[in-house]
Amino acid sequence: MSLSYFWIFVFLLAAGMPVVFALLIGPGLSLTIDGEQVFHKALLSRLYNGMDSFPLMALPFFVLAGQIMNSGGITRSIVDFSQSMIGHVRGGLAQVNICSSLLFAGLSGSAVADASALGKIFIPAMHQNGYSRSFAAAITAASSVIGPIIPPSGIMILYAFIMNVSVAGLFAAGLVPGLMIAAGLMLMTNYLARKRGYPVANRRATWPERGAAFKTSLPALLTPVILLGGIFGGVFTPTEAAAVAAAYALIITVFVLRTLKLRDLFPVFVSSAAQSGIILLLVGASVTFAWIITVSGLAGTVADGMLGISQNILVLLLLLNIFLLLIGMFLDAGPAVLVLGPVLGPMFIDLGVHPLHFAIVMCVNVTVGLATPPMGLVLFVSANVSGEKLEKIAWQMLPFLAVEILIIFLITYFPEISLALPRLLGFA
Amino acid sequence: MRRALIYLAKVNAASCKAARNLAGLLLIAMVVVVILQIIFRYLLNDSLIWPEEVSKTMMVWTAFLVAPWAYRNGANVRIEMFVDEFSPFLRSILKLFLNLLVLWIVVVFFKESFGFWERGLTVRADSLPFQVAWFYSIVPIAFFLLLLVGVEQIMRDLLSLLRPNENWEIADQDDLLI
Repeated sequence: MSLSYFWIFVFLLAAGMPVVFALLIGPGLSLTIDGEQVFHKALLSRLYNGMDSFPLMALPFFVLAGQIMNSGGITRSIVDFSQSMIGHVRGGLAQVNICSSLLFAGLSGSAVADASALGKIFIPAMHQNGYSRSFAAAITAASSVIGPIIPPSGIMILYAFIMNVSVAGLFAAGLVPGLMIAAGLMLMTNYLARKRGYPVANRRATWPERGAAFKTSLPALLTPVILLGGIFGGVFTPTEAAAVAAAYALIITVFVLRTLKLRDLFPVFVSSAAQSGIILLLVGASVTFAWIITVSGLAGTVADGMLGISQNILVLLLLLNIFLLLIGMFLDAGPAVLVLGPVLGPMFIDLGVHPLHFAIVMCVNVTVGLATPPMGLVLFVSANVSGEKLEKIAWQMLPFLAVEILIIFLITYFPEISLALPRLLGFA
Repeated sequence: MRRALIYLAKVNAASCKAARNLAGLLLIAMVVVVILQIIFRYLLNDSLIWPEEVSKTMMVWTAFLVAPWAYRNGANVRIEMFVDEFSPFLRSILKLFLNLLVLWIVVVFFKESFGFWERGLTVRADSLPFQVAWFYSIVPIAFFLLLLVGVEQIMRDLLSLLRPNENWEIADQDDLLI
C-alpha cells in the first residue's frame, strides 16, 4: 500500500487533530483512497485487540496508585524526609526537590504527575526561600523527568507492549540511568547554588529528627521496595505488582494514615480511569497504525534512508538522538514511543543494538523531550503551577537540559549503563 | 439549530459523564479481580482462570467508555502550537474540517462494529461460558456515543462560523485531570 497514510497523519497532527484520531484517520482515509475499504474492519479489530492485553494493564494500575498517593498526602511525607536529609546544604530546597523527585519516581510512573504534585509543594516554598519562580519551576520540570525513567514507568510499559520486550527487563534497565540523571542534576544545582549564592533552607536536622521523618515516610518508601522486589524477584508480574501497589496505597491512605476518606475515593478512581482510558485508546490506535506501518514497509523505507546517510552505527545513533530530541519537542512521550518504536526499532536492532538498550535510549529521549520547549507537557505543568512565563522557565532549564542531554549520550554510547542490571537479574 | 444543540448537549453531557463514571468503577473492579487472582495463587494454591480475561475486558471497556467524554471535553493529546498562529476565522474552518473527518471515521467504525460484534458470536470466551461478542458490545455503544458527540461538535463549529460573536464552546466542561 502507499505511504499516503503517513503524510495524512503528519498533516492532521500539525493541524491540531487529537493524536488518537489522527492515528485512525490516516490509515482509514488512505485505505479509502486506494479503494481498499474492506480493510476497515481489520482496523477496528486491531483497535480493540490492541488494548486487550494483560501486561498493558500495569498502566492504569500505576496511574491509580500514583493518584491515590498524591491525594492521600504521601508526597508530603517524602518531601519532609528529603528535607531532613539534605535541606541544610547550599541550595537546599532545590536539592530537596530533586531528591523528592527521585524518591517519588519509585512510586509513580509519570513525569506530569511528579511535576504537578511536587510543583505545588516546591514552587511556592522555594519562592519564599529566595529563589526565583522561574528557577523553581525549571528545577521541578527538569527533575520530574526522573519519574518515568526510574521504575515504575508508564512510558516503558507502553514501549514494552508495542515492541514486545519484557517490562521487568526495561524497568531494571532504567534504574541506573535514572540515578545518573538525579546525580547530574544535583551536581549542576550545587554548582549553580554556589555561583548564584542560593540560600540554605534549614539547619542540619538531628538524627532523631531524621529518624522521625523516615518513620513517617516509611509507607511511601516501602512502595518501590515491594514493587521492584516483587517484580525482580519473580513474585509478581509487573501488572500484578501494579495492582498490589494500588491496593497498598489504598490501605495506607484510608486505613493507616487516614488521610483519605472512603467518599474521597470515587473522584480519584474516575480521574485515574479517565487518564488511563485516554492513553489506552491511544495504544489501541497506535497498534492499528503500527500494523499499517508493517504492511506498507515504512520501517524499511526509513531504514534505507538512514543507512543511505551512514552505515556507521555510532553516527546512526547520533542521528537517532537528534531526531528523537526534535520529535520530543513537539510530540508527547506516549505517542512518540508508540508511533516511532515500530518505525525505528527494527533497523537498530538488526544492526546489533540490544533491544533493551535501544528501548532505554528511546524512552529517556522522549521523556527529556517532555521538558523541552516549545511543546513540553511538564514544562506546561510547571508554568501553570508557578504562574511564570514559559520562556523564562525554558531559559532557566538550559543548564539542566544540558546535563540531561549529556547523560543521554552517555547512555547511548555506553550500553552497559543500562544493560548491566538487567543482565545481573537475568532479563537480558 | 440552537434548540437542537441545547438538547443534544444535555444528552451528551449526561451520557459522557455516566460512561466515564462507569469506567471509574470498572477500574476498581479490575484491581479487585487481579488481587483476587494473586490471593488464590499464593494463599490458596489454586490458580483461577477467569481473572485475566475478565480484567482485560474491563480495561478495554474503560478505554471505550472514556472516549466520548475525552472527545467532548478536549482531553485528548494534541499539538496546538501551529494552529494557535491562525486567525480565529481560519481556526474555526480548520476545526470544522477536523471534526468532519472525526465524524467520518466514527461512522466508518460504527458501521463496522456490527460486523465485529457478529463475528464475536462465533468465538467462545476462553474462560467463561459465553461468546466474546458480549465483550465486544461496548464497541458499537462507544462509537454511537462518539457519533452523537461528533454531531454536537460540528453543530458548534457551524454556529460559531455563522454567528462568530456568540460563544459556542462547551460550557459544562468538567476537567477532572490533574
